[in-house]
Amino acid sequence: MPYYYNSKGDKVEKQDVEQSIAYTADGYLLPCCWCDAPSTRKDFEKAGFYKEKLQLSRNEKIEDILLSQEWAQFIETVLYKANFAPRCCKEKCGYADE
Amino acid sequence: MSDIESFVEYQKKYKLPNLETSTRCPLRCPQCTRAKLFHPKTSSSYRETTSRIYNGFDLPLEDAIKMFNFFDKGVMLCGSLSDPVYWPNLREFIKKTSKQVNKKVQIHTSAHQKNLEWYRDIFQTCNSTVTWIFGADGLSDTSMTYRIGQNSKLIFDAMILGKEMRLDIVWHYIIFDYNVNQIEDAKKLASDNGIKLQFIKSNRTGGGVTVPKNYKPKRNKEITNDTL
Repeated sequence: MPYYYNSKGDKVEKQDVEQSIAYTADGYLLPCCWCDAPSTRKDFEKAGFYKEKLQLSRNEKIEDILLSQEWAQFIETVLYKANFAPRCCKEKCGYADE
Repeated sequence: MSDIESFVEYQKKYKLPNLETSTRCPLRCPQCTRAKLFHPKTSSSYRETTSRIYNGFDLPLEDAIKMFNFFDKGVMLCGSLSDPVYWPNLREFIKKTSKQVNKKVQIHTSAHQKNLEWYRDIFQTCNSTVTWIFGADGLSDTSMTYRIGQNSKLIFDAMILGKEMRLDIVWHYIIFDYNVNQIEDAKKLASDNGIKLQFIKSNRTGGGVTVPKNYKPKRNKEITNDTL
């Protein structure tokens, strides 16, 4: 995400968004390549990222995947309920107020 | 604009998606996911990694093109299980995408192909839209300490050949204790051959390699230029 919300609810623009969307060996899109590790796969299975309908080859348009309910729910969790975000997201890209 | 739309727009406009192109790589880098293939066969990490490899397939050309067309800046062929030089569609993909001069294709590779002729042949299909990024952590006599199984001499020969053929060649050098004494020699080699050298500060300690204390990244990995 290019921004996050701090504990006061203020929107803070991030200066160092390094991660980009990843395509996996079995044909799915994930928020980044760090999500594509054996230890984190379960978190993303639970969040619905590996539903057959979200496989790239089953979609004409990339937007149909990225704007799906599953992806929207993930972004909402990361932004507003970060404690419930996958562990790798918290460890690699999480922000904590000083 | 909703949060998800902002996310998608940002990724589309500014980022290169990271594409896994197959499940093939002959190297045994100790911090790679593939290293879990050497864990006990009863462990969950072994089972999950083998399952990913068995369920994986070569990225279909039409899906690669779909990604290339959607993202405004282009794509990155990298992945976390495979090396793009083993993707059977690589040549065709480069041919099809290099006509779009406003987009980039980055090829991140550490594994060697069969010989220098293979590189000469594929380099001939590349223009300025393609950047080859070689992972060689040390010089040709030490890089295989982390990149286990790498024909490091061939990787260096390929980088030099690529420069001779006027391609965009970048050398990624992860700093470990075993190669920290070669930094100055690496800068000279890169400078002598016109190769762009970038040092990587990484957390990849373990499996027989360690990162020097003063070269640890602040958080995740850090890429620096050759002025270290």
